[in-house]
Formats: sequence, C-alpha cells, structure tokens
Amino acid sequence: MLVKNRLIALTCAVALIAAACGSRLDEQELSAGAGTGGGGPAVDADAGKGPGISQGEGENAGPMIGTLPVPCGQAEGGGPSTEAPKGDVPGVTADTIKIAVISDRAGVVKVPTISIEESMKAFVGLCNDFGGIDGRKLDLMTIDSKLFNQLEATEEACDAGVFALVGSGSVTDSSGAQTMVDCGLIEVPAYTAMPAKSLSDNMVQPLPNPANQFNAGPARFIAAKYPDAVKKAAILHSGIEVGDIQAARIIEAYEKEGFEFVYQKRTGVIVESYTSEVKAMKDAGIEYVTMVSATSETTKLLHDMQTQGFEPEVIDLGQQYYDPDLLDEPGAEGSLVQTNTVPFEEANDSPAMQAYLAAYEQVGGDKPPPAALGVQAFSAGLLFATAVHNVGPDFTRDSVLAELKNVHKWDGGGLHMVTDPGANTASTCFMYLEVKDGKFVRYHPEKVVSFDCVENYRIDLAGDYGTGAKKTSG
Amino acid sequence: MNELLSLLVLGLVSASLYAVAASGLVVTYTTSGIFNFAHGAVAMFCAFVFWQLSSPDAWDLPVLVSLVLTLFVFAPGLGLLIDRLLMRRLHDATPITRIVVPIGLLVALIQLATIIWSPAQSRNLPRFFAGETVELAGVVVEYHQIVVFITAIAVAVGLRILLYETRIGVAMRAVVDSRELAALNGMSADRVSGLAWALGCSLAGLAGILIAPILTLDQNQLTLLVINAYAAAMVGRLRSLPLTAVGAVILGILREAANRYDDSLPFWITVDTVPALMLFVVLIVVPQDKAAMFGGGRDRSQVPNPGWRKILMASGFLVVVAWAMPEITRFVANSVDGLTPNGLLGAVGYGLALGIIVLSLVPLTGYAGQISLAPLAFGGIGALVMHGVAADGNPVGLLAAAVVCGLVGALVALPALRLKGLYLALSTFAFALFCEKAIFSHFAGFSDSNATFERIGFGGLRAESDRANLVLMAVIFCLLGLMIAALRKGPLGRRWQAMKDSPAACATLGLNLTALKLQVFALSAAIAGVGGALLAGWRGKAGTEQFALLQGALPGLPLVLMAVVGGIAAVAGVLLGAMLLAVFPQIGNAYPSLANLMAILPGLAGISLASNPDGAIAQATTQVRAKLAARRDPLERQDTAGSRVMAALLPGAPRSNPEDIPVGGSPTRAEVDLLDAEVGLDIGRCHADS
Repeated sequence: MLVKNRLIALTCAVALIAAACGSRLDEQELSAGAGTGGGGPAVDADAGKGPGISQGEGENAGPMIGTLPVPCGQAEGGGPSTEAPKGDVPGVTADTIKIAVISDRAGVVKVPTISIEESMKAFVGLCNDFGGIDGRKLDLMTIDSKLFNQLEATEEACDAGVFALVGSGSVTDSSGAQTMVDCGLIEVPAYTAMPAKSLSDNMVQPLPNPANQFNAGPARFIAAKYPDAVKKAAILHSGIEVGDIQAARIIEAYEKEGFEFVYQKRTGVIVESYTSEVKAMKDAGIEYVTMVSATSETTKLLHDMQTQGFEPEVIDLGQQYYDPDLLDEPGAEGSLVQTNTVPFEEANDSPAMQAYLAAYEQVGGDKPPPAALGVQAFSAGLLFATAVHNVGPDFTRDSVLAELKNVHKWDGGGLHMVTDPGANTASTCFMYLEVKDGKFVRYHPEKVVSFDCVENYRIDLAGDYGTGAKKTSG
Repeated sequence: MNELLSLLVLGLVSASLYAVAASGLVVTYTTSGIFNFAHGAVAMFCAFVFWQLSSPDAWDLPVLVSLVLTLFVFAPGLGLLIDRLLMRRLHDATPITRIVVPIGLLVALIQLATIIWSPAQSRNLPRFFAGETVELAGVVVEYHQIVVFITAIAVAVGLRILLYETRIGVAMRAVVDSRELAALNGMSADRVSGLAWALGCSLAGLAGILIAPILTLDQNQLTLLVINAYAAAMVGRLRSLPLTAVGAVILGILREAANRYDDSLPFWITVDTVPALMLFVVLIVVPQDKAAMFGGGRDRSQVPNPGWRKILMASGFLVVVAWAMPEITRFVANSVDGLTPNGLLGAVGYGLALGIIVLSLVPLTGYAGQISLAPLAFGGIGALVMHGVAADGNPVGLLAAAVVCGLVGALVALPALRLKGLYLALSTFAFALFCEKAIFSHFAGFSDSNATFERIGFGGLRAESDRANLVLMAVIFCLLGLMIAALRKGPLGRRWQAMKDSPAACATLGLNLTALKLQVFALSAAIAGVGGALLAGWRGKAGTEQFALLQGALPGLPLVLMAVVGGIAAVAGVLLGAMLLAVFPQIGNAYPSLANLMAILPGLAGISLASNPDGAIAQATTQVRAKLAARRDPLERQDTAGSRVMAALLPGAPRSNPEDIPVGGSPTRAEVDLLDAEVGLDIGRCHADS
C-alpha cells in the first residue's frame, strides 16, 4: 500500500509540474487587455503604435491593421461604453461582449488547430488595447474540444450564454454544428472541416469552404503548366470519412479541368510504409501525385517516394501541408504547397501579418508557434469585430449575422486571399509555395504577398457531399 | 512472379517490425506469465527517452551513449520498477486483475508521455544509416529496415539460447510454471521475475527505437503498431519465438496483400482490420497455453450478494438522485468555478449510460468469470441498431438493440467458447478493434460521430428533458440491476458461479457449459447494446468516437479498467467506475492544476488493482470495517462520531447465504449440497465412488 502511494505521489508530482509549466493568460487578464498592453486600460495613442498598425489617411481616419480600419476602439465620445444594448442580448453588457473560441487542445496527437486559441487571445488582447468594440471589452472564453468533444464544447458555450463563437476550429467539427444553430448562437469560425459545419446556418467564415463548391484555380494552373502530367494523376487519401469526402471533391473538381486520376488509393489511417503504393504509382507511370491525409502520413509517402526513386513531375499538396514538419522530410523537396494565408516568410512585406505576429508574441505562457489556422482565427476575430462595429452599439445576434452576410470582400487587412464570406462561396484565389532547399519559397504568382485571383475559378460540384446544420424552428 | 516477389519483400520488411515488437511480448509472457498489454506503451516511452537523450533539440548526447542509457539503464530500471510495484503481486491475482493492471499501465504511460512530451511539438528519430539502400526484387530497401530485420532474427536466436540454454533462462521459465517449486529449489523468484521484466522492457525499448523512425514519434502510433503485433505473438502461443517470427511474416504478408488487392476484397477486410481478424482467427485455431487460462491460481474475488431490501432501497435512491440531479449539478457547478451545470449534468448522464454498458460485465465477468474487453463495442452496435431502426427514439429501438446485440454476442461467443482467461480477453479485444475499424467506420454519419439520435419515447410521451432522460436511464439501470440480482440469487446465477469456480467440475456434474456461456454472453451483449443506444440518445450525436476501443472520447479499455476498479462483481461498483471515468475530466475543468492528474488517474487506478484486486468499493468496505473492528477492540477504544456514521452506512458483515459460493475457494458442505440439488446429482456419492 505504501509503495503504491509513493508511486502515485511521484506520478502526481510529474503531472503537476507539467501543468504548472503550461499556465496561460487567465480570463481576467484577457478581458483587461493584457495581450498587447501589459494589463492597463487601452489608450488609443499607445495602441496605434504596434508593428503592422498604421494611421489611416484622411482627416477622420483611424488606425489600420494592414489595409483594414481597426474595428476596435472606444465608445462614441471616447472612453468605455456605459450603456447596455437595447433589448436582451445574450453575452453583452454595458462594457463587455462575451465570446468563446472552441479548438482542439489536448490529446495525444499533434493537431493543426493548436495555435487557434492563442491567436484568439492575441486578437482579443489587441482589440481590448484599442478599447474593445465600441468601448465594450471582449471577454474570451476558451474551450477545449479535445478532438472528440466538439458537441460538449458547443453546449458549454451555449450554456455560458456567450454572444458568439469566434475563431473556432476543431478537427471533427460536425457533431456540434446543429447544437450551435439550435442554441441560437452565431459563429465566425477560423475554418470548417465537415459539410455539417461548412454549410451551416448562423455561420459566416473568413475563408469559406462550402462542400458543394470548389476553387479550381490550382487545378487549372497545374493543368496548363503540366498538361501531360495531369493525364497520369494519382490521389491517395486516408480511410476516414473526412478524407473520403475531400478526396471525392478533389476528383470531381479536377477531372472537370482535364485531370485523369489513373491511380486512386484509400490508405490505412496510420501506415508503416507506403512502398507498395509508391511501387504501384511508379509502375503506372504516374506524373502527378496529391494526398489527403495528416502531415505525418504524407511525409512518410514522400520519404518512400524518394527511397524508391519515384520522381513524378508534380507533387501537389493542399494548404494543410503548409507546416514546418514537411520541411524536415528531404523527400518533400520540389513539392508544391498551396496556402490560403500570406506565408510567414513574407511577413516583412505584410503589415497585417506583422500585426498578427506581434499580437501573438504578446500572449503569455508556453505557446505553440503561430500557424496558418491561427492566422485564420485572427482574421475571424477581425471580421466579427468589423461586423459588430458596423452595426453600432445596439446590436443583436441577428443584426450582426445580417451584417456579416453583407461582407462580400474580405482579406483580413491582407492576412490572406480575398474571399466572399457573406455568400459563403468558395474562394477564387490561390497561391503556390515550393519546397526548395528545405524552405518554403514562393512559386506562383511571383509577386510577394499576392494571390492569383480569377472570378471563374469557382465551380459548383454535383456530388452529394452532405448538408449543413439548419434552423429547425423559428 | 515479380509481383509476388515484391509482395514477399514488402511483407518481410513489415514482418520484421512485428517480429521485433512481438518477441518482447513473448519474452515478458514466457518469463513472467503476464501478457503485457502495455508493451507498446513501454516501447513508446523508451523511444521518447531515447529522443530526449539523443536529439539535438533536447540533451544532445552521442547516439551510442543514449542507446546504452536507454536500453541498459532506463528500460531495465523501468522493468524492475514495474515488477517490484505491480507484477510481483499478480502471480496469484484474479484473471481480470492480471489483464487490467497492464492495461492500467498502458493508459498511464500514454498519458504520462503526453504530459512530459507535449504533442504540440513534432519530434523525429533519425533512421540508422540514413540514405543507404539496396534493391531487392525491384523494391528499394533501406539499411535501417535491414537493421530491423537482422535485429529481429538476432533477438529471436538470442532469446532462444537465453531461455533454453542458460541457467537464468531456465529459472525464468521455472518461476512462471511454479513459483513455489522454483523457490524450493533455491531460486529467488523475486529476483528472477525482476530480471525478466528488465529484459522485457529493454526489448520493448529496442523495438521502440527501431520502429519510431519509421513511424512518427508520437504517443499513439507506436503503441498501436505493437497492438497489431499481438496476432504474431499469438501464433507462437506466446511461448515460441520461431513461431512468433512465422506469425510476423504471415501478418506482414497478409497486410500487404490486403493493401494491394483491396479493390476486390469485401469492405471489412482492409489493411487496418487484418491484424484484428488474424488475432481472432489465431486465438480460435491455436491451442491455448495452459498458463493463459489462469487455471492454476485461486480466484479470490468477492461476489457480493446484498439482500432484496438493500437492493430496492439502493434502486429507489438512485432514481431519486437521478431526478434531483439537475439541481444537484447546478448547486455543485455554482459552488465551483470552472464547472457549468449542463456540462456537469452531461458528464453524469454520460456516466450513467456508460454504467449500463459496463453493467453487462457484472454477470459475464463478475459472476461467470468470462472476461470481455468489448462492452463498449457492443454498446456501439446497439447505438448503430438504434440509429437504423429508431433514430426517432422509439423504444422499439432499444428492444432491437438488445436482440441484435444478444445475437451478435452469442455469435462472437460461439467460436470463443473454448477460450478462457487471456485468450478470451484477447478475442474480445480483437472483436472490439474489428468493430471500430470495420463496422463503425463503414456507416456514413456514424463514422464521423455525427449520427443523430432523439431522446427515448414516442408521440407525446418522450423523455425529452434531461431530468426525464436521466430518470429513464436510472430506471432502466435499476431494472437491469434487479434482473441481474435475481439471476445471481437463482439457479442460473449459481451455475454461472460454479462455471467460474471450476468449469471442469461443472462439466463433470453434467452442466452444459456451452449453453451457459452462450446465455451469459448474449445477456451481457444485450445489456451493453441497450446502454449504447441510451448513451447515443442522451448525447444526441454519436458514432465511432463514442464507442472506440483505444482512441476516442472515453474509450473502451479505460472503461473496462474503471469498472474493475469500481468492482466488477457489484452493480454499484461498475456504476461507480463508469461515473468516475465520465466525471474525472470535469474535475480537471474545475481545477486546471489537476487536469493532468485527472487524465492519468484511470491508468493509476488500474495499476492500483495490483494491491486491491476486488475494486474500490470492496476495498473501502473492507478497510473501514477493519478500522471499526480495531476501534471496537478493548485495547484501542477510539469510538468517534465518524466511525459510528460509517458503521451505520456500511452494509453488515456478509452472512453465509447458500448463494455465497466462494469463488475459487473450497465449497462448504452446505454449498455442495445446494449445487448438488441444482444439478440433480449426489456429489458426495460421486466422490465416494471415485
């Protein structure tokens, strides 16, 4: 018994030490604007001096984040807001707006959503430094969806009476989609994964990804540049539902652009070796390879391709592979990687990215490095704040949602490609990076901080890829 | 021909990974008699330690020094620690305890590694001789893979010599066969068993260091790969290293073939399901190892048998508490920062539904001694049936879930009828893995855990509110509990316990063991199915993640573990275990500094079974009674208000009811007479005649 107690005590000590190391900003610090200003009330003059933040041109112009007027500031007449909105608006008082961000934090695997929470803290810190939205400080509630608990996380936000979900992103986001709608919440997520969420009511996202549309820009670019390779195309995807759906969408969209997928493979979720697949592709004379899976699996594929001496003309990887882990794999050399956000490598040329990185830097605690989905969360915060500010101090969920749906041109001040959040349509822009000498370098278009945008890149898909969460009453 | 050759080469490359992983498993079992479910977790942990020592991003020691420190210092030290604290206590533990303690270790090690090495940071282990390759049958093979292959052979040969040609090897096997006899011959059983675990952990470490560079160095992948290797180890009956190597080759080639010809195979045969299918088939085909049946040790577990009055009072109490739960959770949540009323209520409801699922283990494992690691998988089948038949919540769906799960349970039990102990546990493990990877992931909606379920009811009569649904679940739990208690007190329950005590004796007395096993398996699966359907209804959305074995919201292995911790033979015990599993994360929410502890607690609780094999309730009851008895002692008169309250609350000392047939102990004359009457035989005369 004594021995058992000693073991438990020892293990507990390790656990507690680890917990202490992971401490972060608490809610009070956040609502007080500790993110960028050191904890005191926001002062306009100081707030406008951060990296990437400039003074707008014109007599009445305020500060700008990149090309976007900062949507945060004091109440009309200066100082904090002292009046509650007319009517009963959940989560909003005279001087605060309570919002929540849901993302996957815990778990025993690395998740791409890991920097979302810190990015929202960065946004809230920055916004509160300016005085909040029209003098109302943002009070951020952070909820961990723990990979499998998005439903419970959404219920928690609903019960807490937050005004909106802002900047959220979970790997399995379908289970809480209906709850969000039924609860009457509105949401501006960082990204959506499954159709139940991406086509949901009450939701406007900065970079729409509706299941029934596709951005064919990358396909047209590759088809024009490598016309022979696309006739010998291969697609591999992991054997889970989200992989099945995404692969089916890619195949439908790309075949419309002249691709012929002569090799299609649904792989195991975790595979020791892709040698068999590589051999099959090599034997079939494949010249174009793309994959829908986790970065760790794709690096295994690239490693095996290099080992087997298989060098297709094009290795085309989606935006989720804009991940430093890819650079650790020598076999990734020469791969093309899409990205929706301005590459971190071009931060010097992007004031908005500088503002994001500076705000992120100010978030205390042991935080992960910034990542693309974090940038999208920051953009979601800006989009939300812009809509609330545009409606004015007497806003409601309905009026903010209506305002969000009126936003048809959005790039987060230059954080990412231009989108149409209000219409929830697929983007008509893209850009490619190339892995060169172990680094991401711009491939297309050549101009820094730019995207290739053409209106007719957007195409409709005919396949049934699911529907979104819909309002059931009212 | 070329294709076949390349299939063979690729199969052999995979096989060498499985062989390295499985050989350590075989050595641990051969030298300790314990099937180390945590072998993969130990391998993973050692790989992380090696990374910590050798990586330029960490301590940056030379590779050779790191290798020596990991394989000859850390891993053996961990092995000695595991032996000293846990395994040494298990040599005569109950079968379920011998299985659950290593599972506890598995869960604890995964969580501990997650706490120490955050998954937020990527880590890689370099391959040995990186970039060096050779071509075989059109396939380019890396030197690292050849190193793994040669290591697999060297380990097999070396271990064969160690176990069969050296004095210490013979001693290791002798201690497993008979600890007492070995001790009589002058061996220190403790020393030998410590050495065995040190060796087993070093081999796990070797497997981890060799395999991690091929996979990704994370807490899951390596653990799961070693689980895939179970099938290879079972080909050698956990004893024979050459046969284990053969098993690894078969597994490697089968997986490769399933991968290559997946287009022409049915949906349920994939590269992911082959290990589970092979494990199931091998367990049925290969003769069982005697020690794996745990036949030698006495089952000391207590089977409580409370009176009807107590049962009815407890049932009424549970229903009342369920009715008042919304207020209780609101009060608690308002008193503790970090908790929300509905979050806490959701967890309690989840726990109650899980309680119904693990209630299925009370007759199956608690009474009849049949070990199952698949209650949550049956729960998943129940939910799937509910979704197909009555996603609108019609109670007919519950009935359908019970019937279908009962049939599936009997169907699964049929080939497993002759299996006992570890073999039976592993066959249910294989079934649960198969359900997760082939069945649950096959149905759209269910596979991404987005299948919608309504609350139970029809027309205007529906348990729509949380309170009504909780009361409904509590009532169903109580009804099932009452049914189980009635069975426990009746002839069928006595037969189950007799079967647990001695199947051979039962067969001799004319009991139909086949029918008994089928009955209890079917009943158990039906209960779990109802629980699964209720869980889905409570949550509103459900699917693979709620019913997975290893990964998921509250996965199946920790659930079984917590049921055993609560007390597998007691209705209240399994409910306590399930409830704790569901509520631990809430405690972590309320007290963030305890979040890590809450994550690791199920594993630690499982480990603690090494010293409390009867579970928490039994242990608490025994300890409090002992303390009260000590205080009643005239030499230690320390009567306190607390002790009086505890004495009033606790059930009295067990009476010698006819139903109280001691499990594993010698039956009294009265009990023999009772069983005698039950089966219509005069056992006394049988003994006399023989």
